[in-house]
Amino acid sequence: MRLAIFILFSLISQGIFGQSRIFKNQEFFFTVGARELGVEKFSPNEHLDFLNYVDTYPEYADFIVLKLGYKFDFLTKMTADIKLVMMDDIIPDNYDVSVHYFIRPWLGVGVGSMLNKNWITYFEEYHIQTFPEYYMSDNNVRQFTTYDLGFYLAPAIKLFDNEIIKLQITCDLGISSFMKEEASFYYKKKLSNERLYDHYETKIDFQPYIQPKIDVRLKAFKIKEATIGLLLNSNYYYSKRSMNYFRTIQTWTAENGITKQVKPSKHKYSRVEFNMGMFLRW
Amino acid sequence: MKRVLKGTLDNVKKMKEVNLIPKVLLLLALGFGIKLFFSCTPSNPDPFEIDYNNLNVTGIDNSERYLAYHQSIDTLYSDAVALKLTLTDTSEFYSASFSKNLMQTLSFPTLRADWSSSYIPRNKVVDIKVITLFDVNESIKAGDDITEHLLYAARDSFDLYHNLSQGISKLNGIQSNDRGSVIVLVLKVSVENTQSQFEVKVTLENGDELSSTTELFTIIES
Repeated sequence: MRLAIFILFSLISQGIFGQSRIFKNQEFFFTVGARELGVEKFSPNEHLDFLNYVDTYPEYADFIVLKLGYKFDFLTKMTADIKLVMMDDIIPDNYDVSVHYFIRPWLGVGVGSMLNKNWITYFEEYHIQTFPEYYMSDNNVRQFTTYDLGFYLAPAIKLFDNEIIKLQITCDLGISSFMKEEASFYYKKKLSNERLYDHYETKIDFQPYIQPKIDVRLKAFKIKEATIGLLLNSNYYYSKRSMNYFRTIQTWTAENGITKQVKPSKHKYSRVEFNMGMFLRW
Repeated sequence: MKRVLKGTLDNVKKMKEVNLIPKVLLLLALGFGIKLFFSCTPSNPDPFEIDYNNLNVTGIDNSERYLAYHQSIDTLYSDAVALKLTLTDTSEFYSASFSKNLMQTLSFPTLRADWSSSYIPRNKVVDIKVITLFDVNESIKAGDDITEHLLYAARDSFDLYHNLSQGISKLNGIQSNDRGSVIVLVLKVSVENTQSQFEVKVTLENGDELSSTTELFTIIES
């Protein structure tokens, strides 16, 4: 992700110090916001369901979100929007990048890609509940970070586009998938010699989603050719998702493993975000 | 003139002899230094050769989360029968290979004395056989060979069991402990009896057979 920041600032530097013929209406912005996750949870059943253990806090905002962005017009009717997104850990390992082509000054169509991070935590509790006659060799809390990679088409409408206010609504229609992750457990049966090895490997499975967005920019003041203003945006992500995986169980020795594919039930998965910040346009 | 010339020649000869001595000393010092230098670099001297001549088998507790490796017990759970096999060389100073070991002991790198001894058996283990002296269940009776029902337990708790051949490889490998080579075998089947006892035979590649009978175990139902 350092590479991503380097590319972002290289583009900005080129825009500032290089020829302005290629990039027009360049804008650098940052926002601070809050993100709330809503993941439907199910009771434990025969198989582990990782989405039951997505980190969420029902009583307050799940994550603070910081975004650094660079936006510019190019090739007459094209607009590019690059955002680096950081969560509470201040690691820029999420992004949202899109390019739009405006057929009309107020109507455009775009393509983009996004990457969002999720934490899956405490899923060892499933095994403690469902295998009470076994010890777990490792008592530590189990967790991993899984990245949700998406690609989308995005129609866009500019409701207002003047010197003072710019209001744009887009609706991302895309597919996304959690990236591959692995987790393993060693068990030892109580009062017995029996040992078990339980290995999970998640699959890449793209599933559809929808994400309407609204973006408002208000001019505050102008210094020479540069405009400084206030930025407000919000989006709402919705999908029905499952985290599918391969599960391998080996009993006594590694030679007699049994592998099966597991597709848990789909969960309603939503993500609401509100952001506020400032922009500098030149 | 001749006398002067002769005296001069004698002096030259003496000077040559004197000049040679520092060179010889330098060569000897260089040779010693090179030998010392390479003896100071990290190296792994060959392990000491030992000959297994003693076998001891005890019961250990494997009913809890981790194998109780160092504690021998006489009461076992029916589903958690585990045996610890210890092979040792009880001869004085590993006498069978003493002279070879002595040469190594006195070698330059060994005298540096900042490494730990390691050991390797000369005659490898080729077979392990375990016979039950009491009935185990309906199908396994007293006197039966139960070797096929045993698995080797490595010391790592984050690991499954292995076939007996891996346990034999462990016994035949380089050992770091001069008190013996140890492996643990676990029984896969449940003992449906209130008592059990086992005879273990280890065969070495030179044909020697080491044998040990465990104490009488009390079996508690799991």
